[in-house]
Amino acid sequence: MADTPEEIRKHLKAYWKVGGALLICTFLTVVVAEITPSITIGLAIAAFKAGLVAMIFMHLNSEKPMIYKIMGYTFFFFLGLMFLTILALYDPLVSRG
Amino acid sequence: MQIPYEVKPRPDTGLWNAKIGIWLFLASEVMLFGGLFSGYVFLRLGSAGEPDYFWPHGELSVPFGFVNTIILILSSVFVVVAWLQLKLRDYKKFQLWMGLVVLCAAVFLVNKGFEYSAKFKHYGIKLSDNSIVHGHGIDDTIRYEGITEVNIDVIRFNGEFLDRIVGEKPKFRQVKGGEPVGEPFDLSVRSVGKLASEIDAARRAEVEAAGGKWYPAKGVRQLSFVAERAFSIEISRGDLRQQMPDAAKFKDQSLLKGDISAETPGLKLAELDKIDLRATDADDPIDSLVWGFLDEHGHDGHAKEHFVEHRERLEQEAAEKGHEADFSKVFSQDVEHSKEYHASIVVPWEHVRLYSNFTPKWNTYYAIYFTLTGLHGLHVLLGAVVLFYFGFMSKKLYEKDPEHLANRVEVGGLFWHFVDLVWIFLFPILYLM
Repeated sequence: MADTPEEIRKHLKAYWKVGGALLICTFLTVVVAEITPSITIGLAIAAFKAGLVAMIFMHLNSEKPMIYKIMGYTFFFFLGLMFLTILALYDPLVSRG
Repeated sequence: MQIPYEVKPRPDTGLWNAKIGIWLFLASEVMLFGGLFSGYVFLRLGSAGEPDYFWPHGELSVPFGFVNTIILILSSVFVVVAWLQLKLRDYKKFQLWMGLVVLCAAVFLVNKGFEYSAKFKHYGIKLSDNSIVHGHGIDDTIRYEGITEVNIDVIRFNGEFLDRIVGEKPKFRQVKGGEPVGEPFDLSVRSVGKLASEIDAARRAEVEAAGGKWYPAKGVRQLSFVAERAFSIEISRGDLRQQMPDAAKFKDQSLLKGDISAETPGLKLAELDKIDLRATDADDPIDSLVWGFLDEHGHDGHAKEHFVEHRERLEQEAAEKGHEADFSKVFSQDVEHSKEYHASIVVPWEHVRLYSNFTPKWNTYYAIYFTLTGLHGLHVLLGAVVLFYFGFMSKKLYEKDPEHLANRVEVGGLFWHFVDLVWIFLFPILYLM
């Protein structure tokens, strides 16, 4: 991470820019939701925003290997949780009216 | 003793203690919210297969959600700027930015409070034919008249119905074998308990005289009473266990026989703002029970006619364009209010299937909405408290070892960014989709 005052000031500018991008994306999410009810687009914008926060604000773009290991395992199990929801589509108990 | 690697990183991992600690904690948080997010997906996919339940869209205030998203994003920028100011050893500026972060958190929570409060005052009624109406100003007062007979569960009796009697309380006599016996007395938890003890003592003596063994389970459970004069009770329907046309059952199982007053014929909703007929059991939504119970005031007052006209227009347009008409918006229509026009409804009690404010009781959407946003709100509160502590109560640490404080702020900031990250997903899935 930045140590010299010059580097820190450079980072400061970058953070404001990312903040601006996040605000624009938020506005875009609302506009897109007005135009199309597409869940995919809405989630894609949210994922992009989340990526910016994680990579830049949380410094995941330049972290130590140990952190990547921890979060890699976590992400794998998180995907597992999301995968479980697909099984709902095959739930025999759901009434189809 | 100095704890190792509190400020300086370990040579092998390159990480100081709190840094690895917060990431492990965030990993557990990802799994916590991940479970709830997958719960959301389960509920939403499940609702898609239900013929009488439609996943609500547009019931939350998008401007409120939008503003809160902006506030959290700004606070995320502020916290990272505050941390950099600390790195630059500018304590005043650090405090300024930390103050702004805490302010953002407070505004976020106040907004959320307004949103919650609006939901607590917004009601829905599901009618017996599965038609649904939404609105404000519920009156679920129910009055029973001409009550003389009362049946009490001795163990559960808490005397609640006595507090609901309109006017002076009458005296009661016990009913035994269908006939009133004994002197009239004031009914209360104490007098019922005393009477039950006397009956139990007499029974016990009888049982033991016959050579049997007495068990408390053999004691009296139900007692019937008759009032010296007919009386009325008034109560909120929600406080009753069961409501029948000729009797009311209280939560303590007290059963009072009487008739519903003509003054409280049904559940009233003073200001209707939505009629949803998508799930109605009526073969044609025009035959839904809603239309018969609607009370319209004003120069217009023809909601049913508008419904028919709107539907016919859509049918005509669809026929001209050669495709099937989409009635979803007609079947779920907003009722516009103005000074000249407003609609209210009185649903007869026997046609009320469910009524509730917009809380988890109303539907699974609000169940997951309150769970997710409530848990997220607690994170905001906790994060704000921690950041306030670092920002305004850590001067000594700053003077002793500014890098140590910077590390703490970095850790608090990581948690804060995670809270922002969760909201980034909550906003679209709850407010927009």
